[in-house]
Amino acid sequence: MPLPKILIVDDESYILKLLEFNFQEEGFMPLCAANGPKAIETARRETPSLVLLDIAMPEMDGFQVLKELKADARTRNIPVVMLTVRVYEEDERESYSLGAVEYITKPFSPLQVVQRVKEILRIS
Amino acid sequence: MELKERILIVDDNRESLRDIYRLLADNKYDVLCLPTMKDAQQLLEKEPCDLLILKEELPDGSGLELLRQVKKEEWQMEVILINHHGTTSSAVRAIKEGAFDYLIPPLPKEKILLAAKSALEHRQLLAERDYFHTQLLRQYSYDNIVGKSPPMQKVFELIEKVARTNTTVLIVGESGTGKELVARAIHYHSARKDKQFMTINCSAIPEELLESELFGYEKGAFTDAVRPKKGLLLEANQGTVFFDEIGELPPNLQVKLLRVLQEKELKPLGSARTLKVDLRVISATNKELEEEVKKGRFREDLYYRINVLTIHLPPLRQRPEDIPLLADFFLRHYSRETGKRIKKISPELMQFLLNYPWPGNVRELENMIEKGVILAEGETLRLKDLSYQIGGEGFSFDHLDETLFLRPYNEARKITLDNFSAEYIKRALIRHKGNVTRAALAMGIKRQSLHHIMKRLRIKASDYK
Repeated sequence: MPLPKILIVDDESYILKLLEFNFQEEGFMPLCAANGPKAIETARRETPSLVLLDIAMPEMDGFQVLKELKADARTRNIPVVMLTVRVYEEDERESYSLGAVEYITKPFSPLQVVQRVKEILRIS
Repeated sequence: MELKERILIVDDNRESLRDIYRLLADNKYDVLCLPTMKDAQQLLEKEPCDLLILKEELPDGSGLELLRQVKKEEWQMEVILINHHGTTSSAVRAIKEGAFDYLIPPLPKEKILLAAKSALEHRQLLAERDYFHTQLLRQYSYDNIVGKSPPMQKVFELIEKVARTNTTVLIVGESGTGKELVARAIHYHSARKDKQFMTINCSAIPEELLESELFGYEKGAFTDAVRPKKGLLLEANQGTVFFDEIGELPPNLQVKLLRVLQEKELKPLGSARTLKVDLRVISATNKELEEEVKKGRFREDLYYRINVLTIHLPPLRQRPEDIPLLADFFLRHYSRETGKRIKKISPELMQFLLNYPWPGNVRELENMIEKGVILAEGETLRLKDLSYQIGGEGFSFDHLDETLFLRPYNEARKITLDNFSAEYIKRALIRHKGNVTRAALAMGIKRQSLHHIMKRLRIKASDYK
């Protein structure tokens, strides 16, 4: 069975590497994107099982990426989990209203993020 | 959620990274793994960790550099270095630089786990020490007033008691002892705490403006009164008014203030009507008000009215046990404010602070620490950081009152010499705990001469015992 692909989108390379390590360790195939356009392109090409998406990114923020993913038939059904250092209620509301399935605030424990992703994808 | 201790492992070798990760994650630690020094730096600048396990040879630099950064930035974590080619001398160097441990493979699981546990226990002990230190400071402070000495503990008790009442309070103390802080503490622990606290420095407002500032005026009360103005006392209605240097209040205003206190009413300038006002009055002075009353410069009835309860603030030289606590308090405050991480005062500097007579009291100590913090580098505030403030650079005119130069020469000279003599004698008396015979001996003059000068300059030996 192919490994489930997880697309991790964050402009901070250390976050990408932290999550990449833990997802690999837990039997996933992590894909990394450091900006919005790269994330959309990778999502369309690879059709990952789930996208972990940072909100605060320069040029194209997480909300814009989320809108693009939901507007495209190829990526519309991919569950998206938002990652953010921001704990504003309106951000959380907007994330859900745009179609995100979860909202995780930084700093997080990478292992807990993996566990949460497993629950969402119903992987034991 | 359970708060796990967080460990960051930095290793570019996937296999060894995985081995340590598995071991520590299985032991319920929150483990983060990164392959390069740059990644680790980015993470540590944003997120705290309790322990950093670091390979010494990394593709983008030496782990020793990151160890140095951790120590320089005073990030609160322990560091364990691992080096496959490590030697005893490289281990000694790393420990000297501040590493908690230095591991040389082969590394059985028990050895790694034991090193991690010991490092985290050590971190825990340091955190507890910091916590108790903060608690201690809290125990010995009241708002921002710090002191564990018996006279200061008495002051805290009085503030607590008097805050619950509405009585007038007179705070007596030398300049720089913190009279306004005490007044604020009384206000903010009183039922009036949500109302205004108004400070009026009686010597700072020109006498001709003081009345209109305090009591306000009606339109046309005087030439420039084009519109009515609410006075400061009315603005502070229902709150607390703090009259600093009350001894400087001109006689005509003393009568008016007495009326405010007795009748609880005031009349703005040019107004025919009186207005009700509800104020709590706290006053402060560094003058002997009783003397001023005797000399007829301060009204006796007002003196008794503002002096229902007196709080005496002792000069810093009479409570040396508070100096380390205060120095530490200001050090922490200004380190935080300037973004520095100075945590300690060197023993040599502390000895100096304990011996210095502090003529400017707590304010002088605060200023000295503040300036020292700006100049200091590293974790420790040293005597050299304060050296420019404590002289050795020859005589300076900076501290002389500018008005001296406008007085006749003989008069200016006499004032300067008297000030010098008073300061010299005070310091000698402090050093000899108020013993005039010993002070005179140390000064190289006769005891009778010292008595004579002290009498002329109104210096009492009993103040220094």
